Amino acid sequence: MKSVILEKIIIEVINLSKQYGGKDVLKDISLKVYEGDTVVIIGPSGTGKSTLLRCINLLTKPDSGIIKLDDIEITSPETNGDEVRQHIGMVFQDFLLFNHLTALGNVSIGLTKVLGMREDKAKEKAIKELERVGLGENVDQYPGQLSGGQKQRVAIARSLAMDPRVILFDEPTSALDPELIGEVLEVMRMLVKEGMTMLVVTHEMGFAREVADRIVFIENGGVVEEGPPNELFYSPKVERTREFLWKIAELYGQNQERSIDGDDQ
Amino acid sequence: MGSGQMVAARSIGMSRIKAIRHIILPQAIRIAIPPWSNEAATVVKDSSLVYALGVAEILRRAQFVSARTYEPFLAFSIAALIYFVLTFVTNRILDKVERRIEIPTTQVA
Amino acid sequence: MTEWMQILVNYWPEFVRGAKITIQLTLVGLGFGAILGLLSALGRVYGGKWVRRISVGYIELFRGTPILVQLFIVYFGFPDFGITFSRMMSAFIVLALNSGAYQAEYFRGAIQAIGSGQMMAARSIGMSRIKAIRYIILPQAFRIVIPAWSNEPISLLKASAVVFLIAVPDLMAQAKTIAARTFEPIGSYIAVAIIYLAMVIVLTMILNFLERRYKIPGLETEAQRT
Repeated sequence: MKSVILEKIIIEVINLSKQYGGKDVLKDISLKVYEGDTVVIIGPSGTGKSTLLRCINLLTKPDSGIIKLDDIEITSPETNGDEVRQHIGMVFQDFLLFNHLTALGNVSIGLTKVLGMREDKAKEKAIKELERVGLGENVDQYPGQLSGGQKQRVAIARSLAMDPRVILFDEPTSALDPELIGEVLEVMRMLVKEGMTMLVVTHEMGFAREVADRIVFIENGGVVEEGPPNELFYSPKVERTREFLWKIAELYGQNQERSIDGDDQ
Repeated sequence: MGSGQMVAARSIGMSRIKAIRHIILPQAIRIAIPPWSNEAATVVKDSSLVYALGVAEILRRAQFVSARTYEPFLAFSIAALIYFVLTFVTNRILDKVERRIEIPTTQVA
Repeated sequence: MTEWMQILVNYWPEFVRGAKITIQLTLVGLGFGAILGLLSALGRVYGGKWVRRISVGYIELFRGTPILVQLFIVYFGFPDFGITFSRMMSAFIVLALNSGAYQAEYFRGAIQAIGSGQMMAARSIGMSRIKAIRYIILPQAFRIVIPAWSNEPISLLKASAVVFLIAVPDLMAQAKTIAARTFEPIGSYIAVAIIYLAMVIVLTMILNFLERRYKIPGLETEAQRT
């Protein structure tokens, strides 16, 4: 747990609302993410949480509300969305790697085509990032040749290469075979230790309890409760939170044990 | 559609012929209609080619009209319109047929 | 019935001349059609309301009417408006427009098969829509479209035969001429059919080679896996 005194706010969401086909997906949601924080969002499946992430990096336009990145309002009409997205990384549930490019290509294309870096410099940086996530040996392989866990790590490297202010994770391990989840969580733990600001939507409760600075429980488009893991998991203030976590704990009982043991490296 | 359907049919005692008649064909027809309707539309358009043989179908008649009225653009454009309507109607009819005999929630990959 | 072999040998130079025109027509139609098709497909998938409507209109019009009728409209009909194209020019224009409409549908299928996720991923690293289309969508689309698209060159080669009806001296026209000269219609037409067949076979081999060469490793459609 890090001290939160006088820390910089990287992402601020103020009264965000979004409707899809007449249904309220996000209702007046507000959220603050401080520098270096790892904020984990939990809640029942539905598109509210994903929608929130996609609003933050402006892939989806909110109906109302304000989003600020480093105190600059990015929801104003003059903002260049493409530019903003250079500073906010996103890792998707289904990886979404560029199939026609090698791992190296996937990581370096943002550098060359978006940031205008020189080919050789970009290649250097890309290799560095891939080594960082443990894939130094796989730089010339295509996504079709990689396992799910490897693909997701390439996706993380792709985001890291852009040196983002914050990385948004949209259920990064939900599409992975159980055996492969660990390697991705390992990389994410590493990022937490290195001080990367992260906003993670996940069902991995063990991971959440272990590394989150704050947990936010969202249901039906609104925040039900938020607080540090100890509070939320052991003495939740809202009954619904207790209910939800109890059900999840049953289902993911194995996971909790795994991550407790797994850390004895 | 898969050999599984045949296996399933035979497992309840159907002979091959019965299986083909009651299980395979009914499904096959429903799967085949969308691509088949492309074929139907193509044949309608290709009928214009019999022009080369002197057959007096739409295009040949259009040529007569154009020769008589000295309005080739108009004559052939109307011919085009007629073909367009024919293919359009053919597609629509086949669409309706497709929907009518559709098996609920059958999806062809 | 074996006169065709004789005719093939005797009139080889004429057939070659006709075949050259046929190949020219096919290549020009294919090339310009590819440009038209690609633009229409992009317009249809990514364009605004009016761009989409124009694309669909073009595609439906040229796929919904016979190529021969289109040819007649351009060659016989346009002079009404003072726009006179030569036979060859009319053939080039119509084949390009027609092929473009069909190619548009192939490209559209490929672009949509790639999925909106790729566009989302590209934008999430800061690419603009245009950059995403250029560096992420199209490179993949071109690879995926090859199996289906390879129907088009073959289709166009065969369809180009209709231009003989506006007296373009292609391979088909040669067949007619030689049939009249030799009084051997069957032989002449069989000879020409064989030449068309040979061209299609060569074309197919080239297309198969391209398909194998540009496969993305690990990403194959079911058809390619066989």
